[in-house]
Amino acid sequence: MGLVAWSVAIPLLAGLVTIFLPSRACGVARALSLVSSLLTVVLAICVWVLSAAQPAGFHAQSSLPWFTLPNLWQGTDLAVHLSFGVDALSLPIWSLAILISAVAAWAAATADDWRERGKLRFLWLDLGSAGVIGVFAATDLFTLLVAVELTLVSAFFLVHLFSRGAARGAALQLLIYRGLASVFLITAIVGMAYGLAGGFGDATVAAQSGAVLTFDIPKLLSQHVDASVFPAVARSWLFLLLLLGVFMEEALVPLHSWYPAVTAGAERWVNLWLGGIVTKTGAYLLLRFGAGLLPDQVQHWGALLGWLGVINILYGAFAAWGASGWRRLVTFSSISHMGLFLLGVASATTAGAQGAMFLIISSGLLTALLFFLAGGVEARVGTERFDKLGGLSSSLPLLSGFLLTGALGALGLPLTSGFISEIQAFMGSFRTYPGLSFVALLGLILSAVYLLYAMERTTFGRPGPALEATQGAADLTGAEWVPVLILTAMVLLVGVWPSVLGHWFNPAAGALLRIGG
Amino acid sequence: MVWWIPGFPLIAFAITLLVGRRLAEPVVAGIAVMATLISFVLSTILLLHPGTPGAVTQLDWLTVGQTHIGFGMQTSHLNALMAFVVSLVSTLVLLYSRGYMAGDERFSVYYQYLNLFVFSMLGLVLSANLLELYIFWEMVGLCSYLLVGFWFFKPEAALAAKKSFIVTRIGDTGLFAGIVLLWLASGSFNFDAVFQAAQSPGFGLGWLSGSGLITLVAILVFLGAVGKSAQFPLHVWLPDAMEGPTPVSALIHAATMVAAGVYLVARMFPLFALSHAALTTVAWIGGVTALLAALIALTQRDIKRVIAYSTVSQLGYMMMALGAGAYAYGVFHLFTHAFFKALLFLTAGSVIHALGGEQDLFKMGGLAGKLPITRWTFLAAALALAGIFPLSGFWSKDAILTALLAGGHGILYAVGLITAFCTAFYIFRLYFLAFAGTPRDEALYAHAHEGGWVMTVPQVVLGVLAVMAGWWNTPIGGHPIERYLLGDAGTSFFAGTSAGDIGHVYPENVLWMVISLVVALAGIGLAAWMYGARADQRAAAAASAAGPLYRVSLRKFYLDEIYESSVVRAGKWLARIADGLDRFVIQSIVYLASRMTYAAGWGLRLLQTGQVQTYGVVAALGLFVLIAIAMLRGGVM
Repeated sequence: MGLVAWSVAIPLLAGLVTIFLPSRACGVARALSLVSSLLTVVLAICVWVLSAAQPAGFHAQSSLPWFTLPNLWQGTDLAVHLSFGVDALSLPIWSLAILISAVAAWAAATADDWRERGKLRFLWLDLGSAGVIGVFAATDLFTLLVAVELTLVSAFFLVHLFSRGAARGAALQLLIYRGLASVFLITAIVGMAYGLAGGFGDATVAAQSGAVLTFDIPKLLSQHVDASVFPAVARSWLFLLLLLGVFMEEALVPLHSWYPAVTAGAERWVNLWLGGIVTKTGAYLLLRFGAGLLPDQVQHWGALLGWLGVINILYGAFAAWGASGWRRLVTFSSISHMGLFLLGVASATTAGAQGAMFLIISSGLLTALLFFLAGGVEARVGTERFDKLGGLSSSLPLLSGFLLTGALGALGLPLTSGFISEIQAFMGSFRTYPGLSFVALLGLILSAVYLLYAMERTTFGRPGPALEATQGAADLTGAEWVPVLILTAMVLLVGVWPSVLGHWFNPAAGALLRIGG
Repeated sequence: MVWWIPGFPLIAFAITLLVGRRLAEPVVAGIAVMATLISFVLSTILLLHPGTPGAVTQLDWLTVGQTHIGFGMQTSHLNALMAFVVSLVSTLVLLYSRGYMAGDERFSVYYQYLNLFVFSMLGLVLSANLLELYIFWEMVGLCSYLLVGFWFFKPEAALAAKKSFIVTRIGDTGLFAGIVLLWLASGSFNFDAVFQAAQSPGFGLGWLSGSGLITLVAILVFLGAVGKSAQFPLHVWLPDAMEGPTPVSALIHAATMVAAGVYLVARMFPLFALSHAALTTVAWIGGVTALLAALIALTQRDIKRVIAYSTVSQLGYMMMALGAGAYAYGVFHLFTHAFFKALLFLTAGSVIHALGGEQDLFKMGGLAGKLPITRWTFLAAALALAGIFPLSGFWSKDAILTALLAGGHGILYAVGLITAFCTAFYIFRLYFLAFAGTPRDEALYAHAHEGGWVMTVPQVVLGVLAVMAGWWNTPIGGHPIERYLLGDAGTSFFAGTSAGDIGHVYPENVLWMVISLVVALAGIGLAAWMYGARADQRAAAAASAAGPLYRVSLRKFYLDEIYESSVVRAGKWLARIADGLDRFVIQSIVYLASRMTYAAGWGLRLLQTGQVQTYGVVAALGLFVLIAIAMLRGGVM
């Protein structure tokens, strides 16, 4: 088995063992979760180092035959594999999944109330981590499908079990939205595999050119077929179906409503995990299959994508400005960032695609960091509402300082990951859609407006009414340092030395848009 | 060696960031001053031996598509002069701060921010490409934000910090777009490649090309300068930024960061020189700013705000010079202004320090005897600002006025003269109110005293510079600074330009010199008449005689109110709409949809029993069915 397969197997095993633990043994579950997270991080570092010399192509692949659907296509069998591997596009995002899952596990394990539903907490987090890591590691469509579903179910249970108040209903919203999303996504992707084999076109031409139905993702990515094999109409519909799925999965306006509903009530480590990586799966699938398999459709629907991107940027920004508390602000800020992601993809340029990839990482890191820190404020002061906060800098200087760092990253300050992602996206979008890009620039101003407003209300000024409660509350605790330092360091690392990601994303962007410029 | 110029302040920043809280005040300040002093020495060496202008040392930073972006240092005469000014003023202000900030509980944090600022500012003026310049451009903005809000517990400081960042960001967004468009049209972020591409006949993008694109890009870049250098209509942040500690005002909001906009236009001058429309815009924005700010400064009561508006006005002067094509004169004024304006703030800080934080001019008076060093150094700076022969400001201001008149900008020359009159008036109004006459508040006066040597030495050094810095560019010496700066022309720093492109040189005219001197003296005379020792109630009488004009000036032409009731209100309104829309409209649609699903679907009703495990099963099953259908169809065909 390859290293990448182990990154899925280890948390999966930890989860499966946890199922059979007695409920009282939550300490064991906790230890299992932490150890398995640490092991996956080590694996990610190994893959990173071993593959660095040759970023292109798939790395650390492994494939186990799973089952075969006999006589499925033109008389041949379809072999379904349990196969894993990463390439220049997925490797950094797969690493992000591992990092965010590990940080979430740490945060879940060090929360004051970690014994509360301790077994379920680690069970679902382990399974969810295996799922979300698997989404980025899968190189077989069926494996991908299973990983998507595992992520969905785990996310549902985590939100359902670890939310306060009305937010439990939000778990159902998440399930319906993301459940439907996965139906659309998988149908679209399987449809693409089917189309590439000639299913919608001239089957004899397809047979002559050697096109076969396969679930193997690297093979799919290398298939080139002409319009007679895969008609443009079918491509368009499949792309739109994929896009619909991505919008629900990714929580993009107007199909985003599950996201603020969930984050309004979930515990901070759940929000960290959801905002940090689970909401990035849709973006990855759009790049992998939308741009990877149907690059012509990205160009064809570019204007639509661009408009939707700008709508998301501005809607997200204004909704974040109108937010009354941190949870909603961070949620809509993340939606606004992913709007820029769409605009970058829409440009169908290498710079835009590279910016879009950077944005996945940057938005993941910053959303996770901000959810965690805002949760820290809430845990101490008892509220996350701006009208009750104020003056935190004097009693909680470290927490305030890191919160400011996160906010500055999210507003795209240079030397943080936010800036380098944004400028690359704009470098692409200004080439293709200069008019839309000028409008999108408003997002840069608005992000400064809402984030600095939030900072002013939270950390600056005179102590707010809620601050009385913090007298005696400790600044960052030892356990909190771990997520905060790791995430901040990553945000700064990408910002100061972007080649660390560019090393992978540059060839990935070049390979992605074979037809684009 | 060039790397070490910003390198030492960066090291000082790292030390104060990591262990600053545990170090004693003199150690923290000592590290910072030493690091900056080394930078100053290195900058001086660079100034004397700038090497080949345009020489670049850089590292690979990122590859985007086919574009390799570097990160490095570029030297030239302009950059060396800027590094010299920045490191010199920084050293003096860091030393002064030792006294001014003594005892502040966040003393080490203050130095930490200032070290970061000095690093960023030096990086900015030595940047090897546009993207890097933008990075440092935003970093100095960050430092400004942190330092304006340094006393974060004051609500005014918190608001001012936010305002300064957001208003400058509006301009920065223009610069951002300009840089991206220049990259698209030239394929590079490097200055020489950009300049060469702009001069080539094929310069353009699909939707705009040639001179139209050059004008658009130049104006976008200038928008960045408008924000950073507090030019009309984005000048409103700078006076509020006076909420920061006064040494910060001296360094960041007078001598260095706010001059970065002028540096930017100078750095991009070959681009501006290609567009008459862009240059005209620069000149007129500069002119309007110079006059507007000077008119506002006439009536302000707060000692720091008067000087802040003066800064805005003088930056407008520099922009006027650049817009009129007098590149070297604009930079020369930046050079002299850095010293006398930093000194005005340091002396104002000394006054505020002596009066226990009082900034209202109408509670001061008679301080000349109590604060002799401050008084004499302030007087030197005020005379330099007013443009009195032979102090530094005289030479640079007069050069600009000469260039305006000789260049055929008659109206702007008149604007410059009126501004010069106002400038002389408001700065001597301040002088007479603070230092002359009798104390207006005896209690404050009784406690007034000079700060220690750490505060007076920087004042004296700057005082000497305020007097003499202009002598470096007199007709007698043959305009050494001009010749020095024009040495960049035609090199890879200003690729494809000749000396004529980047700077017209105008002969001095003694008559014009006398006119501007007389105007300045008239301003001082009026100030003495209205606010001098025997002025009685003349100022009050003049204010009531001026009526609405006085109020317009006092209320800063109501620009803050206009912005508040238009842009800001519209934005807040949209934010509220978006929030409401999201909370109620979209949420209720979702709610309705889910209710309808419940009513219709027996499957989902089953799930309501609480058997949550079945959700996953149902979701997965649905997929299997879909895949099976797809497979089946594939098999049949």
